[in-house]
Amino acid sequence: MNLERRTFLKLATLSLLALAAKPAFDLLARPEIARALGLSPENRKRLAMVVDLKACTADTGCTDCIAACHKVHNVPDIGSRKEEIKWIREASYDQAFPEQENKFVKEAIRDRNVLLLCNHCDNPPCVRVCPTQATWRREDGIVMMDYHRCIGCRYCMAACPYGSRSFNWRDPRPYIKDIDLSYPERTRGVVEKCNFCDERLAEGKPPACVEACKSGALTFGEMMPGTDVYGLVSTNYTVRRKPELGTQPQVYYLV
Amino acid sequence: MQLLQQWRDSAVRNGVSTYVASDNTTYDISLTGTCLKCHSNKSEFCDRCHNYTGVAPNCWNCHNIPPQPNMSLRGTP
Amino acid sequence: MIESIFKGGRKYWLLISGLLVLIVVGLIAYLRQWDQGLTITGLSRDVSWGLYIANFTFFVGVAASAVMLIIPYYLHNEKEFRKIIILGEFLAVSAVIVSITFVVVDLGQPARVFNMLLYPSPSSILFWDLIVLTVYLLLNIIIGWVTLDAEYKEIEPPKWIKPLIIISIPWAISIHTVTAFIYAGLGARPFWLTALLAPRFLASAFASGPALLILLALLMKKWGGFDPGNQSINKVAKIVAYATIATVFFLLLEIFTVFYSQVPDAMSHFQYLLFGLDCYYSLVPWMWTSIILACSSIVLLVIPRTHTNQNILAIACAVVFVSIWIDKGLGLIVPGFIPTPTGEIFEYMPTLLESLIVLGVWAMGGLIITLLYKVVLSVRREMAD
Repeated sequence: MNLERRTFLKLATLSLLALAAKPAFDLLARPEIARALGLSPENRKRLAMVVDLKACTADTGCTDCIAACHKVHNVPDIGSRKEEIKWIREASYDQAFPEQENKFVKEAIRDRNVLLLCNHCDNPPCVRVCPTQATWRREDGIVMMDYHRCIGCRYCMAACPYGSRSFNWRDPRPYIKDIDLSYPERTRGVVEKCNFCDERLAEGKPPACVEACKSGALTFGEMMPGTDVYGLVSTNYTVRRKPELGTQPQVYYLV
Repeated sequence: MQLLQQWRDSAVRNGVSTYVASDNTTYDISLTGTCLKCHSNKSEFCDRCHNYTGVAPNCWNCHNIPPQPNMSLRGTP
Repeated sequence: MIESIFKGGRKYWLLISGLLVLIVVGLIAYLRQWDQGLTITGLSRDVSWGLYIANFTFFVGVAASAVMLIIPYYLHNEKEFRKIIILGEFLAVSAVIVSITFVVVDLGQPARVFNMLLYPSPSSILFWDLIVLTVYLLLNIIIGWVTLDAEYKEIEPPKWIKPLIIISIPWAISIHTVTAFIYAGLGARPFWLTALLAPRFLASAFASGPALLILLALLMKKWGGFDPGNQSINKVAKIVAYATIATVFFLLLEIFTVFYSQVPDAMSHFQYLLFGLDCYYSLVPWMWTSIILACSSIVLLVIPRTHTNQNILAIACAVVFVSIWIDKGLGLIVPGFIPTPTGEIFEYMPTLLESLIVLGVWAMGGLIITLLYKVVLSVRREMAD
């Protein structure tokens, strides 16, 4: 090695280190990194939902929650499984909890339809992978979507372990029956999902699905002592979808 | 335009959906509900400049245009 | 040097025209996608990544393979690689451009792609992939052009090129490792959640990339009078052989782990891929073709009598290339989504328009390679005179 190259390499390394200092600092300030390094408190605010499978009447054909959600948010009905957009949907018990691999499920819930929606995870993998931060975890626990910023790469769809996210493969407007003018639609080429009705929460209203449910199967609130959801999870056994992945989903199912 | 972007970032990303103006009037941040409630004539308020400059805004791909008032040169419905 | 792309014989212009036709066809198909959205593809809510991302992954691998020539020549002074190394660097340039194009073509809102730079997200592997790919592209353009220019002027290349060449070695490894990390870090997709994914990517890259390089070098020999020298071709063929063996070996490792452990999470994806699941088996013939092709190419590449015959070598390299394209493309991306997180199966079939766009992007890569190699040929010809 001649001296010139050595000097060049030394200078280059020092410059790279100096340039990397600010991004490294910003990286440590990101909540999920901070938490992974044990640098942030565990008693964060989190909004949660409890779905009572025994009270839910989905298997008798009730789709009130789905209809309400999709009406209020102008979710289109594309009509094909290939391109459907669903913020909240039904699935069988086996589909909701495949990791159970249980052939002998309690009869009372074995044939129940389970409501699936975005779990607004505490440690969301979709947020981690978004290259533009078009999706992020809000302070109160809601995993938000910014449809202005989304570039439609669908990395979040690959990262979501629950299949909660839908993509607009085409312009959704023609497929919305009655457009609710007080809420925007989405454009084609962006990913969308349940947002825990953050716009209704800002007005002090409960989420549309919770309000529409006539059998009281859906309970929503902040997960802290004194609230309904806290009461339900601390006095009943609840299951969550794929908890072993460490996502800390905030939708709890009473089985 | 800058105000629109400021409002967008404030409401969508920061969760602050009320804007307090310098004279202390509060506005609910909403393109369809607030901006277009007063500036209700889209062709006068938006299209006139955007058509001239040839910059097509993509707001209306998602946001709703409220029913347009009858056209009158002096504005207000 | 660059003016040489405008001078050529009949075959050259025929090739350029053919590629341009394919590019235009692809562009027209893409205009359809620009107008209607990604609905024109076979992608779905369940299989949200398909042919575009598969090709992106594959061509990042091809781009990384240039390092397999740089290491012997610059680190180990194996002089016989001198003539062929520029082909590797320019192949890397074309392959990186092709892979970035595939990502852009896959985006739902391509006009917003600069959001990735305006709002950098260090926790997202796609962000890092953009950075490493762009830097690698610049590295190869600079290194390739400067060294070729120096050769043309019959002088030594400038001293500052050496550190860039040295950096390009770990950088080449990094582009494909980062690409593997896109998939290997997702807990949601047990088919990809394996530390072995990055080694699998690198092994298949070092098999498919040099295989394509050998094919291109032999084509240049036949059509352009460019002789890369048999020694270098044989050495590269050895690299292809060992890398293909490693690729197949890694696949067998994966198969053992999933089937011996019987854990349904990962096993179900391999079952779907190799034997079909619940009467869905559209990828099974593809996967077995890929495996059979890979094994037969190993035989051809290992036996001295066959790999020293350049015709058979060319066939073997083509077979390796196709086999790994199937494996890394269809056999890697699509099964990641089948079965879905809810255990359901929805298959993916690319549409005609989607395939035409893919063809157009391939043709664009072919055009870049043709133009760059034309420059190399004319430089070498002038030197020979």
